[in-house]
Amino acid sequence: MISEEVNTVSGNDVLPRELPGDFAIWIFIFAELTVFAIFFFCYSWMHSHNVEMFEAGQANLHPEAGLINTAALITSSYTIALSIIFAKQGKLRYSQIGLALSIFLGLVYVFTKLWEYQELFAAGFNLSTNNFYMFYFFTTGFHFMHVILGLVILLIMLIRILPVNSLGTRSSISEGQESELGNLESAASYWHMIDLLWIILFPLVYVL
Amino acid sequence: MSADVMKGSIVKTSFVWLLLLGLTLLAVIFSQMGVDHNLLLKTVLIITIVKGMLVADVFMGLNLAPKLWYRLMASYLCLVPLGIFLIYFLSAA
Repeated sequence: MISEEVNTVSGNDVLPRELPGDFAIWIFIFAELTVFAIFFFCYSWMHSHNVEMFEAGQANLHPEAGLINTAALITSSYTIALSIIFAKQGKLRYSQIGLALSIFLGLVYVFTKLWEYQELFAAGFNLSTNNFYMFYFFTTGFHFMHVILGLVILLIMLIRILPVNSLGTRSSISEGQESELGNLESAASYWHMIDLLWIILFPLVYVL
Repeated sequence: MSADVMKGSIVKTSFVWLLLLGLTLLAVIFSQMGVDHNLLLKTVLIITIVKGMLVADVFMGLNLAPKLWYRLMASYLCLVPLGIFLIYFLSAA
């Protein structure tokens, strides 16, 4: 973990400035964010130059599915943030519950998205219909694959920490346990990135 | 992390979660009101920046990370919506 300077949180608690999780995951996160930024700009450019086509395409989407997915991802980000807080406190059972809830909410996203894809395919829309559907399926599909990867990572983390009785606190933690807490933070950071990307993608595709 | 700090963190995280859900609903309701597209664009993108910063600050914990990383993320979360706004704005002009 990268440390910088000391940051006083309260009168008695002094925490170093640390990057949550592994350094490598943050390089990966920023690489992913950059790729998605290019997609967002391309989508916006195409939308602004094909307004009628994009508005007609957006009218066939299911905003309620987008809203459910947004709520699911935000809430799963919240539960994994709680999971980290509990893990740092040594309350591993609560941490495991938070992680399991995040996985469940990620699955809610997956099934809602699959339902929406199925509805669009059934209505005869696909990647080759026009530029709107090409961008829609490509950007949301690419994000969907990241959600699947994130779910696999979270599931692996849950399996790894399930047999453990305690991760302890940062001060009392053993080397192996600290590594597990670091892995959990890395997984959570990746999951938050997926949430961040959806926070930008949702208004772009469903609202604007 | 002491029990008091943990309790404070949980309260703060829960408040941010509710705020994020509220801001999402606000953006959707605003889009249903049939307002001018330029105004909708500005409002929704500002809401997106606020939501992104809340996730990065509180959920990701970047407010406690080295400043370089915090600034990198904050720059991304401001520059991407700004870029999107400029693309729409310049195309409409």
